[in-house]
Amino acid sequence: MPNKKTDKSTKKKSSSNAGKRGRSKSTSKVKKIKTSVTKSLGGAIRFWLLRGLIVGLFLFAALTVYLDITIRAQFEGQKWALPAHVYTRPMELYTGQQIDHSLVQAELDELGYRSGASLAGVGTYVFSDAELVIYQRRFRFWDGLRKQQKTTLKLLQGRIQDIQVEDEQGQRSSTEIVRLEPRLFGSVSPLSHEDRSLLKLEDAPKELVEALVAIEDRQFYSHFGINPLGIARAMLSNIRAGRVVQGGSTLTQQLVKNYYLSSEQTYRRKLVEMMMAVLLEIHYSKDQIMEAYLNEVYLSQAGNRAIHGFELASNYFYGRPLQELDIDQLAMLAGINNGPSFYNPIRHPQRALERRNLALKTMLNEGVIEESQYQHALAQDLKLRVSSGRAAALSYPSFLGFVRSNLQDDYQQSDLASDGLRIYTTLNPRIQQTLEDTVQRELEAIEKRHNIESDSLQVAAVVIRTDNGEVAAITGDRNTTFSGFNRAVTAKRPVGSLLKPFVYLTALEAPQEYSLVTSISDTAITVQQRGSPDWQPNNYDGREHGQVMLIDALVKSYNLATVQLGMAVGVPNVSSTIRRVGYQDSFSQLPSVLLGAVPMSVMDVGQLYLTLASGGFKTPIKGVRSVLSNVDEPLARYPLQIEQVVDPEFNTLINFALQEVIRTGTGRGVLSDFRYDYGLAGKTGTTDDFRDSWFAGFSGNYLSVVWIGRDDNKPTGLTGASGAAKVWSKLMQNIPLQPLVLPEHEDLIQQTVYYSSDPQVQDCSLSRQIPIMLDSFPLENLDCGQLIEYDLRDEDEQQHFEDSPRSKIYKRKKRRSFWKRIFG
Amino acid sequence: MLGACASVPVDRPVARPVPQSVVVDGEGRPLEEAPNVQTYRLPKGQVMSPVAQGLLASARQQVETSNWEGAANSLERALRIEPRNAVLWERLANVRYEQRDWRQAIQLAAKSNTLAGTNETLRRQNWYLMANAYDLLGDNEKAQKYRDKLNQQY
Repeated sequence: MPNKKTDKSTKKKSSSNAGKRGRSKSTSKVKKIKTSVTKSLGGAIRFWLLRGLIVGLFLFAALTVYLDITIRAQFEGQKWALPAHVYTRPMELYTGQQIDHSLVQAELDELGYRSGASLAGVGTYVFSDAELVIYQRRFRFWDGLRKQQKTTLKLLQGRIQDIQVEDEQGQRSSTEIVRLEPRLFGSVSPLSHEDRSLLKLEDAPKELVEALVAIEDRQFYSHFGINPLGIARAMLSNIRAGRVVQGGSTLTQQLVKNYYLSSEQTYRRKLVEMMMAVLLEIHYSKDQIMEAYLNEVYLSQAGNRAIHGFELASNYFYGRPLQELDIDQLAMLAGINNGPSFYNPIRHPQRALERRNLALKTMLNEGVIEESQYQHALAQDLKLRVSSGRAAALSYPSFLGFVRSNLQDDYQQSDLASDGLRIYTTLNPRIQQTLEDTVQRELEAIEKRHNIESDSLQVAAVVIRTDNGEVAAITGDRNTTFSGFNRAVTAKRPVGSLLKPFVYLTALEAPQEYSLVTSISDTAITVQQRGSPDWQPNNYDGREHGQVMLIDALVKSYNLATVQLGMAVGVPNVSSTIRRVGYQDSFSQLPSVLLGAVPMSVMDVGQLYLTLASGGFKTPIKGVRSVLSNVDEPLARYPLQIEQVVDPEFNTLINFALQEVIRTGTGRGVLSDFRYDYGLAGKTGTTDDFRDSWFAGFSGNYLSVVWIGRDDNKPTGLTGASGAAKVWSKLMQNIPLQPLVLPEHEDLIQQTVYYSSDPQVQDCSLSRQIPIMLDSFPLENLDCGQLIEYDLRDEDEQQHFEDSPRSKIYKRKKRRSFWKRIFG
Repeated sequence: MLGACASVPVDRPVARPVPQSVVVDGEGRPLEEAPNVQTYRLPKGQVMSPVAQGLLASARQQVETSNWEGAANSLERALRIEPRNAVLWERLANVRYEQRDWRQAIQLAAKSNTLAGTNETLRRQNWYLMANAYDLLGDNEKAQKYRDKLNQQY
């Protein structure tokens, strides 16, 4: 057959060749020559064509093999090319907990649970004053699979009294604690911006699969990858229409096309696509191809994140898992599949609705659904969830960036990109929401209050749990949906007075030399720095304050006293304290370190202050709790790790001073709107010419650090108190705080200390309670020291008056002798 | 109330009213009616919330099956709810000790002690653990320090 064909074409070619020549020459002689020429020429052509054909066949075979390898690698690789999926923390609900109706509702809402008067299947809930009943979804937590269950929480005055759980078999049991599943909020995929998740065919709603077959490729289960009849039909209608109206592509071809997503529609491309489709069909079953299709197909675009697969699209458009969708919703997804941007339901709701109705009609005609289902589905509106519009807002790019940098320390790029890991983070969406709202509102308010050009200020802020270092919320931009430069992690700015506590801590760690009441000198000082001009720091108010109590120098953030003290204890000692409490990068050893000439991110500052906030225990800041592989195998857990780097008693001294900062010092403005005294501790920071405005502070359970400044590093005119502290204050007011309770120590007592309102007069008319180390006594260097009463009662004597543990430590204990302590 | 308590053997868990303290994992809001939200204090007679008891029981079961990370996970979950519960820190120290992570065990026991208040029994347990862990690390000086503390009291 091929031979025949070759002959024919050879003849045809040779005769046309002859024709051309014949025009220039004539007569029979020519004819003779012509035949011989034709003969030899024909032979040569035949020879070359044959050879060409063989080469062609060989090339074709090679191409086939190449395409085969490529498409198989793509197909096999696809299930491994899953990006890591990133989840929020799960909300815990437990007996005794005071829950806030609106917060729990917001959480359920974001998880796509529907509220109603009665439970209507998985993913619904009923919330009243007396109880909260949730039909919970199945979820694989790090520590085990939680099957779907009905959970009833009995409430009394907003407090959870009792929790009952009913499993799928109707077995009831009571428990003390349940958790809502965490919400998927993003993916980590360093290689591309594609997002997909793995849906198993058996988990896909059968109506969706049938709808896809009905709409896109009715012969799917019978063809071999391409459908010649379909192509012919498509060509016919294209010719009739005079343009391309039908593609005639099978689902298999569409899958191939999705692998190499390109809008280019050349015939060569089409041909390669068809070959690959046939090859796929040779190697894989229809079910495997369908499963790949469901996961692979491109369905929408959310910012720079491409939504692949029906599972993700379901979450994106409806905020619910695919399994929970109604017929009309499935029909819409199946319908818009044909033209994801043309039929984009968010931008073109009318088109999407018409498309859905067309899909429903096809489903009815093909027997996927019945008339009653059709009528019911047709009457529905698009039912898109608000959350799809807010998807960008709920994707927390700053937090995601932090998680990515966290994981990159522990995982290879390729693991992250290719293993479909499930990453459970520490993100608390409720606090994140508070942070984002506060930042937006307060920055505008600050700009207005200080006549600052609107939108010129930028911000970075972080909220951290003090007891375990878990990051609850981050923002690296006042536009919290912006996923570009993440100031929270990347922007390093001088921290100013935020480093002062560590100068004072270094001093207080020598209790025989320094206590909070030690007099230090707030007078001018000239510091010689190697390789730099002499340094003459100034106070914020430009004045010298003479002899001041050590605690006051910190509370009022006096620069001169701090430099005097820092030079006395030694800059290298201060630097080593800063490193010990948690700063890892190298920094200059110049005396200007004492006034915070060290650029840090809010994360860096958070790490330093976290040590103070957690009682002297350094705890690595973390954004990830655990990691699960895509086959639900626990891979890693980031355990709670602590290391005592500051003795608790010295830590308490500094925290007491930081509480004073907020009670009476530079941070006192933050208290104005607080209803309760949480014993907050904090510190302001302002850098030269008001370029950076900082505030770092903590309650018993949360530490927040806020930076405000400009990207171009121009002065803002804001101090730490007038800028960052305002944001901090509003932020902390809306976070559920626990008070900061300074722990008790046997070596620390609360002492009444006398001082004078005017140091010149020395009337010692004022007094205050300040904690002091036993080792710091006697307080001889105190101006009013003679007024201090020393309580030298013996400890044994005290036992007769055993009083409350609280007052006990505030009395001075006589230390036991060395021998007595050893031998009892 | 008192009578009911007296009739119950001491070592059996007693159903107690939910403590008035509010312990939240960032999921609640400050309460209007509770201006002085008290954090947990552990007096000599242990008062522990049902949720901490429940998670402690899970951790105990996990320890029995040598599921150390599972136990640590349960205890950390409880600590998120009650970060100032010294007993939870002490249990976590013990899990790490069982895992032969002596250093972390020492740190966790130290943390427990900063929160133990007047719970002398708990403090002594922590010192005991620290003394043993320092021994196992070969740090005799530190081990002796905590052994001294054990001898010094009572």
